[in-house]
Formats: sequence, structure tokens, C-alpha cells
Amino acid sequence: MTHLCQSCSKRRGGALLLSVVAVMVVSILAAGFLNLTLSVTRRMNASADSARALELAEAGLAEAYTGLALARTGAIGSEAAPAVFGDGLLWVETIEHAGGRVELRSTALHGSGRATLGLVAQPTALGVGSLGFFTSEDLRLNPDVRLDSYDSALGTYADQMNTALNNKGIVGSNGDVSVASGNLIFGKIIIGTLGTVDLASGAIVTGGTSQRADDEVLPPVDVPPLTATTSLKFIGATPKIVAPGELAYQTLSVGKASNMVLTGPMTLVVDDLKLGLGAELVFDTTDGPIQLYVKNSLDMATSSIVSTSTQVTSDTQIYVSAPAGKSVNFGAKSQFYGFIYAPEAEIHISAQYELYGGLVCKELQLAAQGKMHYDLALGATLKSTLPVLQAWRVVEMPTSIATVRKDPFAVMGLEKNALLALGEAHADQLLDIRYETSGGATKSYLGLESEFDWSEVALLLYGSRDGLAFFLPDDYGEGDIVASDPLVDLVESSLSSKQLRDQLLAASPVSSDALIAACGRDPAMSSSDLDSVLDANYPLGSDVLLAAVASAALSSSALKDALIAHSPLAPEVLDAVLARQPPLSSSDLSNVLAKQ
Amino acid sequence: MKPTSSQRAGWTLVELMLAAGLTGLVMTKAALVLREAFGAAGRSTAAMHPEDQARALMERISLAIMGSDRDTLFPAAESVHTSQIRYSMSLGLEDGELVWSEPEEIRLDGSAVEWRENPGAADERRVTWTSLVSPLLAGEVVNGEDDNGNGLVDEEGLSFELDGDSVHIRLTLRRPEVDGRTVEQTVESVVCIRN
Amino acid sequence: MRPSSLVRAALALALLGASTRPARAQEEALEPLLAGLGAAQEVPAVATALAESVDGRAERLFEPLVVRPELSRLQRLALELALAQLPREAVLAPLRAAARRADVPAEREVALAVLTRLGTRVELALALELGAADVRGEGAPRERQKALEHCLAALLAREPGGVQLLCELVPRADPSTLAPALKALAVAAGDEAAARLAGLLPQASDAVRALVLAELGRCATRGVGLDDLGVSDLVRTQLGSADRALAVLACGVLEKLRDHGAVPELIVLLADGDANVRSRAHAALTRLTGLALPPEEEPWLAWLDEAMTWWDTRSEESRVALVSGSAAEAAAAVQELAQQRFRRDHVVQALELALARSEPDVVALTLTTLGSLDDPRAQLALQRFRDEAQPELRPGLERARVRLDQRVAATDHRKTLRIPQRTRTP
Repeated sequence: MTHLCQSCSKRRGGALLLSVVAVMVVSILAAGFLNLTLSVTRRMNASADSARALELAEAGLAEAYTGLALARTGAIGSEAAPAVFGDGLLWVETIEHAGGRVELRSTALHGSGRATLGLVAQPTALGVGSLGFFTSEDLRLNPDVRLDSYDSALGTYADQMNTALNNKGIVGSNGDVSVASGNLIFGKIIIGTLGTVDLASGAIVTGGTSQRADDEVLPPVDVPPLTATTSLKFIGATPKIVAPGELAYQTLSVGKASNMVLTGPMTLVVDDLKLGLGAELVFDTTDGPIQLYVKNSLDMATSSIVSTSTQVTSDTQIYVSAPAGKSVNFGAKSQFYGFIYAPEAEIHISAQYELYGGLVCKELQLAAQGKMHYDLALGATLKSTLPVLQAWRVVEMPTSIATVRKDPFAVMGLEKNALLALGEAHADQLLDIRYETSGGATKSYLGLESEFDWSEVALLLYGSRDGLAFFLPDDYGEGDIVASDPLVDLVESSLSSKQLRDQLLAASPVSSDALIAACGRDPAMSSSDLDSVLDANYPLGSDVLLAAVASAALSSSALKDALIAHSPLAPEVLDAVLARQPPLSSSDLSNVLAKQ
Repeated sequence: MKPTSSQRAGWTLVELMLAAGLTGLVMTKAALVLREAFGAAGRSTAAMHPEDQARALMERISLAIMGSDRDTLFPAAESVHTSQIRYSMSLGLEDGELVWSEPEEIRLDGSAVEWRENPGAADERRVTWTSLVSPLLAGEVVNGEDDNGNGLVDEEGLSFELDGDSVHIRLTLRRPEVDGRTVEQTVESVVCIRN
Repeated sequence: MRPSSLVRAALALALLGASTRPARAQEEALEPLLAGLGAAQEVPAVATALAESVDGRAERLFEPLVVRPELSRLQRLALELALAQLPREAVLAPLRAAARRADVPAEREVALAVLTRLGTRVELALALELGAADVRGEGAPRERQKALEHCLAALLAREPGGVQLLCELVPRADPSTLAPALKALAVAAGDEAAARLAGLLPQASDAVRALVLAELGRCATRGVGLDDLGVSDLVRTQLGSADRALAVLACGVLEKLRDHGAVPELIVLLADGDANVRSRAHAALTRLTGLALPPEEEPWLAWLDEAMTWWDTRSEESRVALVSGSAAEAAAAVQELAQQRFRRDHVVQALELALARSEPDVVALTLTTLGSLDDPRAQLALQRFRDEAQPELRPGLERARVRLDQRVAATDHRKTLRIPQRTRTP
């Protein structure tokens, strides 16, 4: 026992105490750093969650917005059954407002992040401009009529004659279409649901015929509420310039041999429009479009003239709300670039009224040898029917969602696997489609979209949701973007004539395209500047010489020098010289001819 | 028998002094380590605050500009920087009509970022979002040169640069610490105007 | 009948026979010459032969041009060139006669075509007479208006001094000739076109003023008259016209002229009684300044007050800073100028001063600023700088030029199609 006590008394000291102290110090340090790390991580996660929630909300808006373009409602999921995307949840609510506007609200939750965004969109449907030349009653074409197409967005009609774009005309009605002998229809004919096509011998229709699934219902003309208290009857020697604005007249008449210029941008409402013998009506759309509403009658005398200052067909629109039985007579001599819409009227178009654009009316009497050229740029393709985005904003989210910042799946009691993905969570709709399967069979389906298996579809032929089409056959693609010579861009820029001359001289020899563009430039180069440029690029090809001859910018003597330098001239160039307006002076012309 | 030294209770003075010295050394080391650690944590936390503040402020400004109407943005000179921006935001639809807010302005006033509603009007409202903005953006000196290589010359601590439908926002916050240090934090963001 | 009367009658018949026999013979002489004309190269020789065959009687060459529309283009050309070889007075005689007659409309168009080929500025008045309408108070046929326009363009281009003469003739000309005359004047006068046209405004009737304003608008679109204070002043007088349609047209012209001096008057028009005037004035203000303020006077006046205060109090300081201040001061001044929406022409002038500085960053900043201005004067400033630009500044200069081109192009009117929607689909 004493030995033990002696042993005990030998084992004394503070090592354990020191060890404990050391461990405590290290533990405190570790805890502190852990706390710091957790704090940093929490902070970073919160920041990331917040950003992700915003992006999820944007994704929801984008999906809903695109859905509107595909005839969907825009609603995706709901608060009770949201869509899942990545590691977050979202849903989109829609509120439809008067005037067709749709308000979308996308709420997204990701981790501790929350965001609600709003978007106002105006869905667009196809415009009646896509109908081509259309009558709601039977359409009977007189002999020797030419109906074809072109695309003003890609060039002039003359450039596109006898090309593929010239062959996409659309002629249609809700009833029968009868094509007389000698008619040239470069495009297709679409008849009514119960209609027939009557093709006389000698008639040519290049695009075949098809039948509508449903009759077109033409919306009425929405005449602006402008009150007419006076008439404007003009007869005079000096042209009458009608200034831009919103105007209304009871009668607008242009008297014998008088000239009236309507200046855009303008909205003009008239009860009656009359053009007398030899009268001229000009639609000057250089500064803006002109919309003319005719409420009662329209009468253009045979010798009158109608013209448009530009060739942009969407710039001049004539809406006729004249009731049945009223005269709507386009008898003027015209190369008219515009769109005519007269859903209740019988339209008479003379052979000398050449229409570039579109025409939709109740009945049409197109005189023999008449010509109409459908502008493909007027018809909207489904590619261009994205809703019009009008407003985007950050919305204050509901308190119940904003305050709870935990994992949304846990908070809402939802299983991730039980929820639909974003693309599949659109509101269910009545789907009507025609399609080809991978086996080549043509099938159709009408029913709820949720019950349709899209994997069956190899080629979609037609599709609509709740009666609104989202896919139509024969949509044409956009034209290829042709690479342009940068010098052509330079010619078309806002450089002055002198500056452009310097640039082109420095770059000489320049391409024919650039020289042709310089000759046709608007505003025109000065004669001396253009002459210097052409001089520096001799010899000139026939196409450039033709452009030089056609250019009003070159003076007679400057042109004479160029022509003499390239004599003898090619026949087409000489022809153009002789037909030039303004003509070469007699001495200049004599000198040119003497060198042939 | 005389008791041996091993049987004696207590320590010798030398042992005590050695033990005390060693203990003191260990404790001092521990204290130094703790102090460094706390100092580092403090610095790290101090750096986080301006960054948090800068990011929060940037988010606030960004969301305001994103929802604004491009046509109401003023000044609207592109590619030149400015330290203030005026806009109207979308408020959605009311009775089927689009509604826009009263004119709002975010501007740098000294070292403060102020938000104003109806600037210059009798019913103007003002809120200061922060007072920690540096007079110039980080790295910039007033000398007519682009010192920080961002394409802007002598830009202030808050600058907006308009480019088409985008606004490039740059912000430098500067905060003095209790120990006399100055913590500076710069954030940038490019936002697209949605309306 | 007395013998002397008989003799006189016989003499008259003989003379008639003598005059017609050669006339008939001359017609018969012309026919084979015209019929034998095959290729364009033969035209000069045939023209000479034709000129020799008519013995100085220009009406013999003029008449077929009128009465024989079936003549080919080469034949008509030969006749015209033959006329050009005759004595001038002989050629002008049938043209003057055509101007006095109104019973054969085609005659005037032919006369204009002949005058186009060989007339000079001395014949401007004759051209205007030929281009007039057949019936006073009515318009001239379209073909005649076109022919007159071509004729005037040819006469004005042929020798100098025609523009001034035409300006003197226009106020007295038949109203039916004014439209083609103004168009020809606008083209021929070149850079002076706006000044010449504006000079016609004070004395003209309302109808003519409308024509002049329309033509001025076209000139301004081409960049003519942009910095001519005289033109702007004359156009601005139309803002107060009793015919409010003229005020609408004048607003459009001032906008195209980029006349910032008209801003105060345009702001006043925001309270005009005519809705179209208010709307056009607002559109002009919006495009001139780039501001999206509502169409009410107050906000615009407030902005104008602020802008004018800046010009009154700070502009000189900015200018000094740009020229002789430090780099930092110059950069700050450039920034300040970039914000100014009023007097863009002065802004461009001031910024050009900064282009002469030696600091590359300041110059680069100025180039960027010029590129962001929606004003064609900025384009000119960039062009002027181009030759002096140091190599390292050329990319910035090019970017500025491209951006400016895009902005100038972007101010073109956006034309939207608002066509009714189809309610059913095929």
C-alpha cells in the first residue's frame, strides 16, 4: 500500500490540462472556420439561387410566349402542379384582356431564390393579306387575264418575272373558281369547301388546285372614327397637295384633268371617291403609309390615273366598306402598288389597272387582259407570327411564396419525378392535325393534345389548336441573303456625291455592280462626279453603259463622251440611247450615231 | 532514513519557471493564432459586405432598367458614359391598357446612389440606396485617359453606357474599415432593355 | 366677173399650184428618205438629206412628226436631227405656232420633244407655254407634264444661267406647268435647289406653296439645304399660315432640314387648334431631338429651358475646354456635349474642335460620340477627319461611320402592315 501511494504521488502534472486547452483552441478555430465557410457558402448559394430563379422565370416566359405563336394558350402548369426545369419549379399564368392582349406571369422557385416576371403580348394571326387574290363568292375570271406573284422584299416584279417567285400566286374563293381560256395563273387555286374549279381549254394554272378545310370569314372593315363634315372637290391646274394627318371628307373628288397628291402618313376616310376624266390621284407614301377608307362608293373614270410614289405594297391600303350594290370601280390607268380590302363589295377592275399587292373582296370583275401580281411579302408566314411583345416587368410575388425560402419541393410537398417538364406542361387544348407517319401513311387526329402521341408524326401537314392554325402547308422560305459588294453598300450610304466619288476613285477599278448602283443612286451623284468615276473604270460593260444611259444624273455631253469611247455600241445600248428620257441633245446624238 | 528528493512534494523553482515559460509560450502562440484567425475572418467578412451590397445594388438597378421603356431612356446617347439614367418602367396592364410608371431616375450624387421618382417635379420622391460609391470607377484617374482599359474615359463610380438595347452598368463601392483600411468592390453588369 | 379679178384668181390658183406642187414634191422627196432609213448609223446622213430637201421650211419636217404617229423611232429621230440643221428661227416658228394653238394636243408634245433636242435656256419660256394645259384652269395631260419636265431638264443642263431664268419665269407661268417646272428646277439647281425653291414661297399662292414645300421636302431628304438659314427662315414662316395644311407640310420640311432653330416654334404648335398640326409638330420634335416626351407643351418647354440654359451658361466653357483644356477637361466636355439634344449642328461643330487634340483617348471618345449622333453633319465631320486620322484611330473612325450610317438609315419611317386578321384558318 505504501508503494502504491508512493507511485501515485510520483504521477502528478498538468499535461492533460494543457492537452485539453490545446484541443479546445483547435476546436474553436475549426468551428470558427467552419462557421465562416458555411456562411460564405450560404451566401453564394442564396445569390446563385436568386439568379437561377430569375432565369427560370425568364424560361417560363419564353416558353409561354413561343407557345402563343403555336396557338397555345400560354398557360404552363399551375401553383398546385408546376412544371419542373432543372432543379427548380415554375408555372405561368395567363390573363386575357380586351383587345386580344395576353398577360403572362411566370413564377419560379429555385432553392432559396424566388422570382416572378410579367409579360404582355399581343398574339397575331395571319392577316388577310395572305389570301392572295380572294373573293368570298364565286370567282369568274375573264379571258386572257394574268395572275402571278413576286416578292417585293427581294426585288422588283420585273426582276422576278419567269423565276420561281413569279410562280407562287394564290387565287381563291369560298365557292367556285372558273378560269377562262387564255388565262395564265402562275400559282395555285384554292376553292371553297364545296367549290369546284372550271378550267376552260387554253387556260394555264401552274400550281394546281386544292380545297379549303373551312370557309374564310372575312372580318369587317374597322373604319376609324373620323367625322366628315365637308367635301373636297378639286379641279384646278396646279396639283393639290393634301398634307399628312387624319382626315375625313364626305366626298373626295378630283375633277377633269386635275391632279391630287395624298401625302403620307395619312388616314383618310371618305364616303365617296370620284376621279374624273383625265384626273390623277397620287399616293405619296415616301414619308409614311396611307390608309384610305371608302364607306360608300368609289368611281375612277376610265381615263383617270392612279399612282403610288413607292413600290412598297404595304404602304398603300384601300379599305372599302361600301355596302352591296354600290359601285366600286377601279377604272383608272394605274400601276398600283397596294392592298385592296372590300369584304362586302363587288369590285370592278379594268384591264389598265395593273395591281401589285393583294385584293380581297366579295366579288370580283376583272376585265379581260387584266393583270394582277400578288406580293408575297404581304402574306404573313407562320414564321413571322410571333406575338408582339409589348411590355416586360418584374412582378411583386405573393407573400406566401416570397417569405418561405427553403427547398421548394419540400415546402410544396411535391415529388420531382411526378411533375411534368417545362415543354410538356402547356395547358391542354383541342388539337386538329393532319400528318404523315414514318410509314408514309397520311393520318389525321382531332382531340385533346394530352392524349396524342407526337412521336407518330414524321411530317406535319396541317395543325391547329382550338381552331387557330399553327402550321399551314406550302409556307415559303425566306430568300437567301445575297452577299453584297461593300462598295455597293458605300454607294447606298449617306456620303455626299463628292465623297463617294473620292472613295470610288480610290477603289478603282470597281465592280460593275458598284458602277450600276452609282448610276442609279438616289440621291443622284452629280454629273461631273459620276462622269469621273465612270471614266476611271473604262472599259465599261454593256450593263454599266445601260445603267449610265438610264441615269438622269449624267448630262448629255458626259454621256456622249462615254458612248463614243465605247462605240460601236451594242444594239441594246444603242436602243436605250435612242429611247433615253431626257434625250441627248441633237449634236451629241449626231456625234454618237456618227461613230456607230 | 532521510526522505529522497523523489518523495518531496512540489516543484523546484527551475521546474516551475520552465513550466510557466513553456505554458506561456504555448498560450501566446495559441492566442496569436486565434487572433490571426479572427483577423482573417474579419477581413473576409468585411470584404463580403461591400460585395453583397454592390451585388444587391447592381441587381436593383438592373431590374429597374430591364423593365424600362427604351424610348423613355434618357440620356440616350450611345457609347458615351453617364452617371445618371432616367426611364419609365412597365407596370403591366390596367383596364386592358398598357401602363407605365412615372419617370424615375437613378443618379450618382456625390457618393450616394439616389433613386428619384418624378425628378424635378413638385411631388418628387427620393430614396438613397447607398452612400458608399467611389467618386471614380476602380483604376480610373481624372486625366482624360482610359486608365482602366474599359473603353471609357474618366468614368465615375457609377456609370451607365448605352449600346443599342443594352446598358452596361459599372459600379465601384468603397468603404473605410475601423482599422483604417479601405475596402473597394467593383461589379459590372450588362442588361438588355426589354421594352 | 371683171377680167382683172379673173386674172387675179388665175394667178392665185397658179401660185397655189406652184406652192403646193413643190410642197407635194417635197413630201414625196421626204418619203423615200424616211422609208429607206434602216439602221441607226444611217440617221445622220438621212437627217442631212432631209434638211437639204425642205429648203429651209421647218414646218415640212415638223408636220410629219405631228400627223404621222406611225413613224418609227429612227424616222422621228432623223426628222428631229434634220430640224436641228435648219436656221434656228425657222425651227422655232412652228413651235411658237404650236404654243398658240390648242386644237391639236399632240402638236405640243412633239414641239416639246423637238425643243428638248435642240433648245437652249432662251427657249425656257416657250417650253412653259408649250407645256401648259389646253384649257385654262385645268391640269395638263400627264404625258405633256412629263415631256415638259424632260424638256426643262435638258434646257437647264445645256448651258449655265437657266436656273435663274426659270426662277424668274415660274411666278408668271401657267399654273398647270408649275409642278414639272419645280421638279426640273430642284434637279437642275443642285446644291442651290433649296434656296431657289424657298425663294418662291413669299409671293406664291397657297396651292403653289404646297407644291414648293413638297419639293423642298424632297430636296432636304437628299441633303440639300441642310445648313441654309435662309431656307429654314422662309419655311418657318409657313408655320403660321392660315392654311393649316401648309403648317403641316412645313413641319415635315423643317424636320428633314434638321432645323433645330425651329424647335421653339414647333413646341408652340403643340397647342395648335388643328390636331394634324399638333401631331406633325410632335413627330418633328421627337425626330429632331430623339426625346420621347408627351405631345404637350409643358414638358417640352421645361426641356428647352434646361437646354438653352446650358447653351447660354456652359457652351463657351465647353468649347474652351475642348480646345485648350486639359485632357480630362476635354473628355468631360465631350461627354457633356454628347448629352445635348438641342442645336445638334453646334454640337457637331464643337466636337470637331476636339478631333484636333493630340490625346488619342480623347479623339477616340469624340469619334464615338460623333458616331452616336443622329445627324448627317456628323458624317461630314467624320469624312473631313478621315484624311488626318492617325492609323490607330482609323478602326474607331470606321466604327463611328458605320454606326452613323445605321442610325441615319434607322430614322426612315417604319412601315407597318395593319391588315385585318383572318378569323378562320384553312
